[in-house]
Amino acid sequence: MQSFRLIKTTFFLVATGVLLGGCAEVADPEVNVYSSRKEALIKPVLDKFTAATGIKVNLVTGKDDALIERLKAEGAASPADVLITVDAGRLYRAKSYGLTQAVESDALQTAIPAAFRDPENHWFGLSLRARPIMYAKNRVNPNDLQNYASLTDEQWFGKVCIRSSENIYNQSLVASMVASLGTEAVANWAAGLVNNFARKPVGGDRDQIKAVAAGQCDVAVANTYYLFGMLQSGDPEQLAAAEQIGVFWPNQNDRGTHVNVSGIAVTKAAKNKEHAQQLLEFLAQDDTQSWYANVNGEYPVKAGIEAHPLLIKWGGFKKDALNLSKLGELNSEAVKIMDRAGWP
Amino acid sequence: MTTTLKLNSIAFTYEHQPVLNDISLTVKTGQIACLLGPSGCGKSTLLRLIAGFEKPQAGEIYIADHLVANQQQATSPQNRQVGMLFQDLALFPHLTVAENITFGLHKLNKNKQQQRVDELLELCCLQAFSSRYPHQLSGGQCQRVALARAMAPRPKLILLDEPFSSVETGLQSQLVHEVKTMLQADNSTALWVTHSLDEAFAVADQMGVMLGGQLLQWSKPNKLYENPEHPDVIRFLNHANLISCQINENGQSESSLGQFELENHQQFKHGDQVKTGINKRSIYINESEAFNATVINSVYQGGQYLVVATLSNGDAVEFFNQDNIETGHRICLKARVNQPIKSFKTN
Amino acid sequence: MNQQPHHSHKLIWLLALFFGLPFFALLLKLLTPEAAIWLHLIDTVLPTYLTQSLLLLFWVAWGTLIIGVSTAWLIASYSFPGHRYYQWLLILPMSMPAYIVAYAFTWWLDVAGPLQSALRAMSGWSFNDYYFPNIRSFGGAVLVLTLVLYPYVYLLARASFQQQSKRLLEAHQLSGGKPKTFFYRIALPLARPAIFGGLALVMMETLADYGTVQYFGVNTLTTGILKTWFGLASLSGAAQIACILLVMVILIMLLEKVWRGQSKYDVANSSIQSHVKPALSGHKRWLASFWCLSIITLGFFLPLLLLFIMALKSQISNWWHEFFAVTIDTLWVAGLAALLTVTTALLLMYVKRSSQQRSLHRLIQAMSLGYAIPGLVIAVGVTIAFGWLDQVYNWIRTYFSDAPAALLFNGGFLALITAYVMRFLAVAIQPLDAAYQSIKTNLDEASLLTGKNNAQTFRHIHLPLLKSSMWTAMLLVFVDLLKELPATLVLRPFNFNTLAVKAYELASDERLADAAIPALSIVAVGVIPVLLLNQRINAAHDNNA
Repeated sequence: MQSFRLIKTTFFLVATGVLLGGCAEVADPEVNVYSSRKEALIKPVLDKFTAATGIKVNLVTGKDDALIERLKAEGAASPADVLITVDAGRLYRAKSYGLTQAVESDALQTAIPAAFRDPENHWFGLSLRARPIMYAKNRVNPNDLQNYASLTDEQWFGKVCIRSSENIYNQSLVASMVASLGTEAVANWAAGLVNNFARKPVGGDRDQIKAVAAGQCDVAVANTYYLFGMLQSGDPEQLAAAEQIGVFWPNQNDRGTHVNVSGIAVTKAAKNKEHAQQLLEFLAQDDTQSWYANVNGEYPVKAGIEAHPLLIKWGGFKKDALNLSKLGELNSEAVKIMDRAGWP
Repeated sequence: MTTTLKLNSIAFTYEHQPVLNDISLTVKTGQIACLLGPSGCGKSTLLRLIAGFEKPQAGEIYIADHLVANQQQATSPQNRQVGMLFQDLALFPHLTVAENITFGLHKLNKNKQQQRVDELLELCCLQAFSSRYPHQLSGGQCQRVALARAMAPRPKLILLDEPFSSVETGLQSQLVHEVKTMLQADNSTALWVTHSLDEAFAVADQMGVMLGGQLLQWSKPNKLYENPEHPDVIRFLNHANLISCQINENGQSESSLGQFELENHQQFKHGDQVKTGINKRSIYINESEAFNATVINSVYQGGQYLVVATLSNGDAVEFFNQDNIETGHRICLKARVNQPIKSFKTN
Repeated sequence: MNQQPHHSHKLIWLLALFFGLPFFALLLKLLTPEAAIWLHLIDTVLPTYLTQSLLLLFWVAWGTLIIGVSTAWLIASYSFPGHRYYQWLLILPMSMPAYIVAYAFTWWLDVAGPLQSALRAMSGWSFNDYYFPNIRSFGGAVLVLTLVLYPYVYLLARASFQQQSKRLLEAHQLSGGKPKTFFYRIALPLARPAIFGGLALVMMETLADYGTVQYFGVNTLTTGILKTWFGLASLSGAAQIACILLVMVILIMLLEKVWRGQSKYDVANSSIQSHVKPALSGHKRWLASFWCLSIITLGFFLPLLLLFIMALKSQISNWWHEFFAVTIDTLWVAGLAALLTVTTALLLMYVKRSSQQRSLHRLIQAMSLGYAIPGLVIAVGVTIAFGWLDQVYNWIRTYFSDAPAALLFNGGFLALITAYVMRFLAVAIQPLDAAYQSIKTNLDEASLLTGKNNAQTFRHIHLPLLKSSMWTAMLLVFVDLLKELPATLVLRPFNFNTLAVKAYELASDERLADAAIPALSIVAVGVIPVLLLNQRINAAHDNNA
């Protein structure tokens, strides 16, 4: 009997939910964000947006692919208006699943260079994340370095630190190389790089940088904002380690240093498309661009906006102009190459 | 007298093994009936059928003239108005004595509940222990609480499943008496299952012997002794010897122990081989006739000896004797029987 | 037992349908052939994933067995300096999430960490001049997992040792056995079912671990699942690897059944047992004390101290403001989910008791499989399955209103808590099952005969007798929920965070010092239920004695 009552109650609750869900719609303006950029890094700028426009931002963070899977499962009913990722490849993937929609906005198109947005305007880069080679200033002559490919040279045997192939930054780096050099050449390169590893890949980019400072390896491949973060950390140990590190911009004579973006897209299911577009445009404004990039130690995507003084100290560089959609297309190819090379 | 329990050709099998076979019996209101049998004979299963925990495959069960179970349907245990004293008592460990007894009284109002509990506490002499928990009581006290709990809602019938099997021998007779007194004082009808002869004879108004899933006999206790209906009843009661005999021309059964008038002589014809039940106390040593038996054992049993001897045909005979007889001694045994006795066909 | 059809049985099928849907979703993914990806995986990384998983399982099992049984035996049988404190201190590592111990040890022991830096500064060596074991390695993963998981074995083994009657020791001595051999010949075999029960939990936790192995760069099957899903964009491939994991879990469950089944001893002691434990002599007492102390230090105090030091270096100044709300959120969600998990487990166990149907029993067993499935995989299953339910919901809703489609099942706490219940049902079932089995069925029968129905019997007999075990189950699940990370990460609703998520986000952003603050909060709120748990288990033991 009791369980019967339970079933009845459940049914009643569901029915109420259906009806209530149907009624309660009119509310304060808001925009719902799925973000794979960590809360600590994205929340401040979203708060600024709310302060400037009065539009409330609801945020849920998570891993890119988990969020994409969630969008897929939720389909047209998804509450999400906006997807923010830290990798162009994932935005490409979301687009190819039909989860995003085009945003026609002059403001965005003029602010963001073509290479860093989707050709069909489904997604837009917000900040640039460069992945140069870092070296121990006291042991390495930067003139010995040239490009990513030369890291397989014999002189770096047992001296290269780089994180695991599970990591998206490496997957994107390898994908960009496949785009310009082809699968076979990159496969050979990956095998050569693995051969030059100083240690089995462990930890994140900061750990690679620290390992260079500690002397376990001489060169590492890492994103610049990690070095930036160490210099800003206020922790004397990290600061001491970071100060021993030099930044070398590879491939300056050919395609340029690999860059990725943190980017944003409006979802196909967006219920607050207008507000979403407002958010996108807000993020492309000069002051936001400068602030957003500076807080995170990234490079502004908009031309003419000055980067953080610390970044300027490392010098200007030529960026790989490859359209970042390619990174998404070639992602699984890159993973397979690394798997085959035995890159853990 | 009205009938409280009536079983009609009950059959029950468990996992294709027949457990109960064609059991019929009645218990009259106010009586204590005993089912006697070795362990595994199916008597506990019969109780579970009556309580409603199992369902018969054939036959009917009536409680107070209401059909509670047959092949098609069964009333659930909570609606049968049956109480049970479990072998391991099954007292609720988280409830006090009073709470255990009150447990089944939810249909009464508070006052009536209290009244009934007081009544039962007095009946089982546990007034002083009403707020104790089962683990704070002695074995005998627990027993009485369990019985009081079973009796509390005034069930039509109380089932007792080997209630004293785990109690020390010395305590048993006292507890049996206490329980009987309680049941009678409350005018309860009970079906009592046990493997102990002493226990059964101490309480039973009506009695039966079960063996291998069959009820061999259902009668007054003295009838079991005097008029057993099955050789296995004799074997189980162990009060008589089963002696191989032959029917003579007069319809008597005859062996080297003598000739005996039979109560059921119509069942046999001249020359039939039978087993005749002869009480151990009817057998004596005849000094004057030829030896027909050899003593194989003699045990002192308070004032007399129980002697075991083998007859020349191989039958073992037990009898009582004032004096010890040495093993191997040859003797002559005779039986003195004052009334017609029973014989059973040998297969 | 009873002729009346139980409505609760129908409810079970309903529940099974609900919880089965996510499994079904994964199963569908499983059936999508991914031949190309499989060929690639088998060719390259799958053998590594498999061997690493098996090796990890093997070593962590041995590690927890040795630590758990040795400490349990010392505590249960001897008195030595500090044994009263070790008795409860030894279970504290349970409140430490493995990945957080991993963060702390890494920060301390890494090449660039304070220990090695100090070593280099003092000696003037450079990196290649000395050898230092690398914590971010397979061995490190074994160490960390062993240190936080051994309490499962310790708790169950200790309870079993304490329940063994003193008479056994006396009988052993009378039959000429030396006191030393008592442990191997009597105590250990008798405690075997309990020890394997704990070991099975340890093995499932090990298989499902993601945070630690990922941080240490150990490529196990869980790493494989994520890499296949994210890197190769193949959820089907990932589900198929998850299936290998599932097979291993079923094997573990079968093994446990075999180990346990052959030895259903009744080790309940006969009423009298003196609590006076023999004192260890001479150096042995200090050795025992040292052994327990080292375990506790490595598993709890050292990581705690390191977290404190890290937290002091944190740049987050207004941590109270930052983490207070998150702590409250974590607590209420964990509390609610624990309550629901225990309720579900209770219902399942009730049905298991009242039904003889084999199919129902199997169903119930299947429902506890979730414990070994990585939280992330469960989360994916829930997302997909609830996506279907939402489609149905929206399809119905269009009849009532013309509002745009919205979510009912996904995207809210329903999805999150469903995943929690699926994942931790087994943890709640274990103590409840044991407790239910110890309530004799004739108590039910006695209650039914007095005219109470099944529901009343459940309320008046089962519930009071199960209360203690329900608390134990609640606490166990609660502690696990505080530490839960991957499912929370994927399923949580808007603007909702738990301490574990905070710690993870900061740590994966390589801000270990900042991550130390939420990590400390997890430990702080986790220690209380763990201590309560220990108290409950001790109290239960005292009641038995």
